[in-house]
Amino acid sequence: MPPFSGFTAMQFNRNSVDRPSRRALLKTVAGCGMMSNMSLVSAFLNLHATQALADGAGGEDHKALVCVFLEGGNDSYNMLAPKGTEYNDYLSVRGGLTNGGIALPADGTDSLLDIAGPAGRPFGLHPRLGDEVPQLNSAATGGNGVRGLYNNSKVAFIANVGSLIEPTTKATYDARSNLPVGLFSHSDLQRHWMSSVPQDRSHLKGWGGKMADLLQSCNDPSTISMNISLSGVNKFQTGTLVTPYAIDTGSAGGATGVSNYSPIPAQATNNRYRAFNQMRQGLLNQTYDDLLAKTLAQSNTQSMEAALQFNTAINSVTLNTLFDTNSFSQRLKRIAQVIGARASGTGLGQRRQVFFVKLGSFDHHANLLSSHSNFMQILSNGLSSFYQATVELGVENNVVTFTASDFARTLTSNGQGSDHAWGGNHLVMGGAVSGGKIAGHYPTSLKTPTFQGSTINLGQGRLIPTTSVDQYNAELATWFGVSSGDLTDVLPNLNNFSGATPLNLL
Amino acid sequence: MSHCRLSFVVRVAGFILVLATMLSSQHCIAGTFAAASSSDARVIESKIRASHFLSKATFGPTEAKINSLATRIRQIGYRRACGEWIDQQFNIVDNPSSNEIVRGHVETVTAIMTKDNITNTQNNASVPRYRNQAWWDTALRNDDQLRQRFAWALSQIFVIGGESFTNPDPDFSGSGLWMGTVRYYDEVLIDNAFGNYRDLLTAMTYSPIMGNYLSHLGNRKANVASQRFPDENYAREIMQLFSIGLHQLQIDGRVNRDQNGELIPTYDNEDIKALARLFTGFKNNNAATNFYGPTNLNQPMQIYPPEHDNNRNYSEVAGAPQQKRFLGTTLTTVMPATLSNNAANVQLVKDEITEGLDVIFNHPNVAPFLSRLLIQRMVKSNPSRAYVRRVATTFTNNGAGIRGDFRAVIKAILLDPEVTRGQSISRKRSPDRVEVITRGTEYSRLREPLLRVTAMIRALEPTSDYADGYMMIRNTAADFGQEPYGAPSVFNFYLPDFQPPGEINGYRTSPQSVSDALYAPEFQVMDAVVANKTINKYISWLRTQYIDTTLYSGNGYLFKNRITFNLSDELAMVASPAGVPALLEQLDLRLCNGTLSEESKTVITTALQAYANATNSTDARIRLDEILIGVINSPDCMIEE
Repeated sequence: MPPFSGFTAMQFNRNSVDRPSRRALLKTVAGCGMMSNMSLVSAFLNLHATQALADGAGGEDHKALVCVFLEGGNDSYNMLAPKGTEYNDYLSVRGGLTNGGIALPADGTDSLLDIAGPAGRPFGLHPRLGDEVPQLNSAATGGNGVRGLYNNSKVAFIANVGSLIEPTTKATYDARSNLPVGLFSHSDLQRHWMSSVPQDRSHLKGWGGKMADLLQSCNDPSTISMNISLSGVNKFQTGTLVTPYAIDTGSAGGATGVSNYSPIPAQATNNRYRAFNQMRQGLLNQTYDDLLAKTLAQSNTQSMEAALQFNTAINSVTLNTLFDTNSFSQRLKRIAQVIGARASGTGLGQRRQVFFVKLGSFDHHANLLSSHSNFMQILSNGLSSFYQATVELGVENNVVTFTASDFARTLTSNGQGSDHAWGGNHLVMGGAVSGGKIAGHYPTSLKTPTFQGSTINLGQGRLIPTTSVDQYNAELATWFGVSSGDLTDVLPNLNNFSGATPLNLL
Repeated sequence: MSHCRLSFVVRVAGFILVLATMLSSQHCIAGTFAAASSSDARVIESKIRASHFLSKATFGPTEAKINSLATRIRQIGYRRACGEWIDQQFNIVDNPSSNEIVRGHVETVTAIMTKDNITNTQNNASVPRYRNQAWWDTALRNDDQLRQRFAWALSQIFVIGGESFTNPDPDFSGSGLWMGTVRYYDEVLIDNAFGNYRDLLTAMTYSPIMGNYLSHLGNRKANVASQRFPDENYAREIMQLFSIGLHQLQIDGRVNRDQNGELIPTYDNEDIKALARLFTGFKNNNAATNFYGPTNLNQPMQIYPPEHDNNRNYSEVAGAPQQKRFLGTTLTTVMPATLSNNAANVQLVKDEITEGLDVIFNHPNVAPFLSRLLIQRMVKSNPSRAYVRRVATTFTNNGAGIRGDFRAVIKAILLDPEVTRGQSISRKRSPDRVEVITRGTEYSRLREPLLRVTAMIRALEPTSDYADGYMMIRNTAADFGQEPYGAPSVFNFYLPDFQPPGEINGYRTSPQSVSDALYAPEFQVMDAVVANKTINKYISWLRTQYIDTTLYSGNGYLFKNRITFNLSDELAMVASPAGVPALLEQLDLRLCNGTLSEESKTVITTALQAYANATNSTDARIRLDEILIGVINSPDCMIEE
């Protein structure tokens, strides 16, 4: 950057947290997986950084992170509910099983599926989280969907996570001290999950994009972004250098190519297309002295060819795992195919990949029980097929899938559903996951939820998160290869949580 | 094959000064227009100049508008004719006549919805999209083109993201909540586009949409005991984005530096905290006698004095000054020990807000900061220091001692000599012809995606199948990266200093430039996906010669609009392959302001000779469609001078 650039500062937004540090930019040209700066963020993170370094020593150098965004605010205390002696408080705060109550039954038809929680506490998964498509034939799920993956230690849950700037208590909440902007609003809380900078509504970049800025040098030089989205352009995957490459589940690989594009015009199917291609390529291939025209011609050519290259690579992948026919499962299938096309040469040349896919709407102010049940089935079917697909591709230990959502929902019922709340439960899936456990702090009573002796209930069962999105993201980012020294560039508020207990998810 | 013919340098070598300038930057012959005679060459020249001007001042030139302005250019000269045209545009707004469409956006939304028998509180996801439909209709059909075009530029500076406002529930005013965004467009942007920036500041500050978007609606004075302090969102953005920017500027837009060469911030966090205290006490316009009550996004916010900071209990720091002090000024409005909810105190608070907005308005950064942004939206991405200085000087004083006069600023922007400096147009003899020479790089700009669409539609003689001729599109975000009311954040669709990857990054501008880096904001929305989707849209529109949009579906309704291009003359021109050059010249004039190079024309002609060379209707149609697709999506045309 020239020293006399008048408006340069604005390019990187107003916040120092949004500006890639000098060091971060230098690191983008450094080698893949390089861990040059081991300055202390916190002890637990360094432990993981060392582990990540060790992981890179053997086997194929490939890692993919898949963000499943449960849009609209997942009612996650019905995804993961207490059982045993803690069940009654859950039943009570959710208004019971009938007459507008939104609790799930502990036994009988469609009841919570037993799983083992921490310290001998029994928990129950939403009954549909035991579902998977017929004939999946997965040893990892054992025919039991997400529940099977949990029991086989391929899935872990994290309790009561939410966007925070710093550790927050009822007292600091009441004082409106350093709270995320626009609490309880969809647009803000979605942004916060994606940016991990909840003090700022205008933050332009997401932590997935910032990670990609640091790690894209791991991949072969390519016009195809390492951040690939099945749900359109999004903030999570947007960085300074890397922006999301949006694909779909349509035919021919999923990238939107230019209609009737044919690299050799004479080979197009008819005269119109031949004329079009010769014209288009002729215009783009001219030498332009105007730098803007030159940049435009180059980038348009790259976009046209990238789509073709992408689709060719994807179409060469064979995947036999059965997926459900719904769009969420088909998107996950496409992600599996893109992972399958990771190789250099004929493939995409990607050793690091970040994927983004949405499911929803989970905004169940009404019709909660039946609609949420439907989504839980879609989720379980999708995730179990996707895990099995990674097994088929031999990459189950290289792929980590995690959920995100705007927020959880009120524990109390509004008569037919639940309203916007804050802290909620999430899951992480993958061969590398330290599974079969519930990390974080699941309140022992949902009726009078507390943390470290103080209430975390803001009323109507809106819970203050006891684990920050940053802590959660930090474990994912560290596994993905972000060095401890770079973590605070990716997650600027992380140091505020340095005293927290490690989640040990990965 | 290069676009530049250096032989041109030799041709003008006699003019030493010109040669010196020329050697410092690229000059390229863009297009040559054949002329029947020297007087015909004069007509063509005036048309190119008219088209070029109208491409900056409107949503796109039409053949009729080009011809009428070109006639005046030949009669009274370019600058006077364009000045006269601007005055006519002012007059259309001041003295609207019945044969001109000068509708605001609320009026247009309401008219279309009335026609469809839909209310703005109807609970359907399509309902808020009527604001997009109205935007397209005003852009395509309104006669107050300059006001609409300038308001569109303002909307990209004083940004509200419409996606935060899509709720059709009625608010206290009875209108759907989303309608507030349309009122914002009218009452903040359109109504002040030919007014004064100071009035825009007031309208924006009291706008419930802005109050909601940047959260000063419901902003309460501090309560030190409970460690609660005013929201700083609006205080920050009004300075950073809407008025003065981050760093001290000179009148010509260059940054000031201290003795260590460092940029000098215009404000710090103490300024923000003080200004945040000023923006307290705004409540929804409703009947409640307390600070709360029902939401109202359709009427200006009210002041509730008891929640306005009255210079007491203001700070967590003991001994800090009680008065609100920011940007080097201490507000002098005297506040009583208790502010009550009565008319006198409401007025007192408003007076203090007025005083505070005046401080911002009078900051020396405002003129160069906004001038540069407005030049970027209207004319070019990288204005020279001299251009910014001329516009900023006019902003500071319109010649009659008035600061912030947008009419004067608009004239300064559009009538500046730098507007035409990117392309020189000259008449030649033997044979008679007109040559367009473009300068490129620092003189050019990637056209905004939506302005490309509006210009194409307006140029192709559109008709609509909708009642009363309304012309509507919606949902352009995915295909074009831009949509009315669709800015993803308060930072607009793109940043003024965006640099796409590639050679633009390392380019050092000439010393005349405001900055020594080259910027190209519009590239920010043209990623690998959008680039392909955009051309696919043009392909589909131009091969069918119409644009079909499903506007509203649900609740038992189905509304569609088809905008059809009238291309019968053009089709006739290329009935035989021999007509291709003439059509290329005509489209160049209407769509590219004369920047289509001879090389590009050769590429197009050669492709058609190879694959569509028969004199029959099939090949004629291929020639027409593919010429349109080729021209509109050519770098020559997408980059404007």
